[in-house]
Amino acid sequence: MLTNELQATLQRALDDSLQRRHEYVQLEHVLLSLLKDATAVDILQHCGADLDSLCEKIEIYLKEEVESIEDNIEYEPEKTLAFQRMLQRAVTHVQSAGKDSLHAGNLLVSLLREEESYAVYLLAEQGITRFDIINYISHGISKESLADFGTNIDDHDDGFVQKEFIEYSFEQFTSDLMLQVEQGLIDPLIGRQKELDQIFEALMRRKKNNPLLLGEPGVGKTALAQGIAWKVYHGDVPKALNDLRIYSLNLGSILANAKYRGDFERCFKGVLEFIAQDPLAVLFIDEIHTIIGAGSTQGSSFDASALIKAPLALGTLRCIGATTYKDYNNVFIKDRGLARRFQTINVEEPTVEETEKILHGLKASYEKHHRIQFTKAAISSAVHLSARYLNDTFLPDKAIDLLDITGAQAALSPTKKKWIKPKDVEQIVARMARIPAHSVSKKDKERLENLTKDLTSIIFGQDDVIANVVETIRLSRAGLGRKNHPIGCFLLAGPTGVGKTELAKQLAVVLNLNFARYDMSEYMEKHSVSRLIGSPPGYVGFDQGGLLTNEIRKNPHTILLLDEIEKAHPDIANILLQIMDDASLMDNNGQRADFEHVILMMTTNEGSVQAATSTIGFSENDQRRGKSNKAIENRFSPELRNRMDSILQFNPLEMSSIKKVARKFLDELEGQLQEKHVELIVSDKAYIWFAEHGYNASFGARPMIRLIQEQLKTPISNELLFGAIQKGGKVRVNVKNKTLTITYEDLKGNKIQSYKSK
Amino acid sequence: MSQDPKIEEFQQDSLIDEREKPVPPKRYNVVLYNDDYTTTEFVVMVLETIFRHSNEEAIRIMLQIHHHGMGIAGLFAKEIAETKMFETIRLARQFEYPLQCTIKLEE
Repeated sequence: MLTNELQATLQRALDDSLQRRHEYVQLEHVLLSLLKDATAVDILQHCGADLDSLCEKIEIYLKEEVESIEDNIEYEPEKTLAFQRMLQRAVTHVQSAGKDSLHAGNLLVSLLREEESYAVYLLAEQGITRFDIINYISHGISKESLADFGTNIDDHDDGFVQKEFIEYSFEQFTSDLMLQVEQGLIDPLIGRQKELDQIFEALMRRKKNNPLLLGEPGVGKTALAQGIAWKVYHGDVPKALNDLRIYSLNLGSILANAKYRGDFERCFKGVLEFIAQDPLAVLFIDEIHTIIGAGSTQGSSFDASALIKAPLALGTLRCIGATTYKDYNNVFIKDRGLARRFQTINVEEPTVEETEKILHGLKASYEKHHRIQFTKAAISSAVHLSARYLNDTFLPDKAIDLLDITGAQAALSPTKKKWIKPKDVEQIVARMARIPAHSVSKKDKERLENLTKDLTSIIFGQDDVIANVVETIRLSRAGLGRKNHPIGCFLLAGPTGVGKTELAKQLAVVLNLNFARYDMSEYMEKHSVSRLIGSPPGYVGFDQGGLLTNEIRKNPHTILLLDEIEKAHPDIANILLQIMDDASLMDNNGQRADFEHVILMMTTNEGSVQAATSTIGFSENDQRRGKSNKAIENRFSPELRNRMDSILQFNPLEMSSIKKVARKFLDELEGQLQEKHVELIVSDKAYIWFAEHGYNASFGARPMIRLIQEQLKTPISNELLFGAIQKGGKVRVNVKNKTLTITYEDLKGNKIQSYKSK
Repeated sequence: MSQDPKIEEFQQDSLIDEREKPVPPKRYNVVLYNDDYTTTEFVVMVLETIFRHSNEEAIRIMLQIHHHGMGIAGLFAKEIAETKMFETIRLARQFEYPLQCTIKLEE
């Protein structure tokens, strides 16, 4: 029943009593022995006991208050009733709880049931109750020794906090950065000389000697403060600052420990007093904007920031703060009184070269962790690629992240990689920036080479246009594209039905890019702009952001098609100006969408009407083009036209193209029928028939589609559902006497004469 | 204000601790009572062995009990007092003497 430890403890109590030649083995002997029992010590400490004091007092009691028996008498100390009771009680309790081992904690609980015992009195004096012990051994909940401190404070009028408490709170709520450097937890600081100089200057000031590091998240503010600690530890600072001691404030743990009103203020003040005592100590407060509002109760505006204002102003407290621009502007600056006591120092993103140096300095710890090594080229590419493609975050954070992720991936890969090369880094960047399988892989190269061929086999009669587009894309892929500019901005003009929308679609398919289509007829009203970029604050839908910005942010590599741009509201055009010029669009939340990898295509039917009117005289094409251009000039503002890379004029379809179109659609139909196990055989004469009857210069390819549908698809579908070819067969299309004939043959070869066209 | 008997019962289990400042434990007197059947020799023996008095002391206390009905065998901490009381009674019953013994709070 008793644990071995407890048995030993009890035996020790018996031996102790014998040794002292006491009449009985009392509870005091037991308590003294428990103070050497590991379990009991753990429990008592967590209940806030001062074990040394306890031990002392018991020893004194046992020496002075308990009678000893003379030396010459042989005897053995008896256990007192209380001792036996205590043990019995503990056993009974443990048994009824269904457990089979009794440890020192159970014994302590039982001990505290005894009344009028000096041992119990001593424990009670220490503030330990039976409940505390039960609580701890049941749930591991330690007693808050903080509350004890609170009740033990002598009431001094000047509000000084007890010395013990100051030290205690200091250890709990701050971390000594010098200690961390010693333990090797902080990496050395590289570069950043300009910021360091400013910080040192600020620290040396007489008044307001509190530098406030401001910068975007990830530029290295916390690293800078820790780096200063590193430098001080290694003596790499100006002589005047040689003995600096930097402590980092842990506001969260103070808040966690504050149960009652006034606890937070007391703890915080304890920390401040400690720093104030030591003129060489500096308090580093990270995320200093959290100080505003921290620890204030409802109804009171007294918070942590109010507590530090006075010592800051006096100069007794030296403080280094760090926060981001956004938090500074939204939170910190609201408290003018506090803000003015700090000297702001801007921490900029380091340059690419500086970042490389930083990474070289840091790589050792990452290499060790992932058990790989980074080549020099890999580090360089990490910095350059992250700078180029990861636009939402800042250096050096994103470069370090990139290295870390690459290392992690290498560690996970089944093949044991030893060296990280630029290729691995590129892979990770491609994934993070959602670049489609890029970095000019072999497959991709082939695609680019064959781009013209692929496109001309789908879109007929627009070779110039296709050539133009392909050129622009190749230019950008070769790396010669313009920075801060989309890959290409095109206005596709021309008669209806010639393949403007189709070109954009097919381009996306061939290049394997995301395709986003916006029909501008939906954006004819003034307020539709807010659909694209998000509504202003206060309006419905503010949180959702804009359709366009979200799309591009999700897929930065996109073919963006704006159909029928002439229908859009002029305000939309104004947004376009920005996209085409700067390749970026800011939504209502202030976040930028990057259009640098977007191919922007706008279609319009403007000019087609004018071009359709035939004229006398000059070659048709030129006239048409001229008229169309004029119309476009009138419709679109000069700024818009100026920013386009080119205005692609689509030619109306010639007879040759129409033939190809016919063939294309018939092939498509053939494919569809094949799925139904029906073979479609179209004679050459039939092709020509279709071409002749489907041609309409002003309507492009659509009449052809309609014709095929009328003449072929409808009759065939009837036969397919109810007629001869239900289970499969053949369909022959021919021309006889200038009319179209369709012959159906079922699987057995029975011919059924069919419809003639009108 | 009378409480729900269930709460009272609970409180008697003293799971809830009354937070008063702890007082050092008081000591208790062990009191022996006179009766017509316990022999004086026995009482003296008890006083000498259990209470470790000298022979003279033991006789003096015995006479005190004999003549005045009761006498104090000694002043001890409660734990010790009750143990000694128990031992006294056990010894007396062993010899079949009806010797009565109690402990009383020191005044």
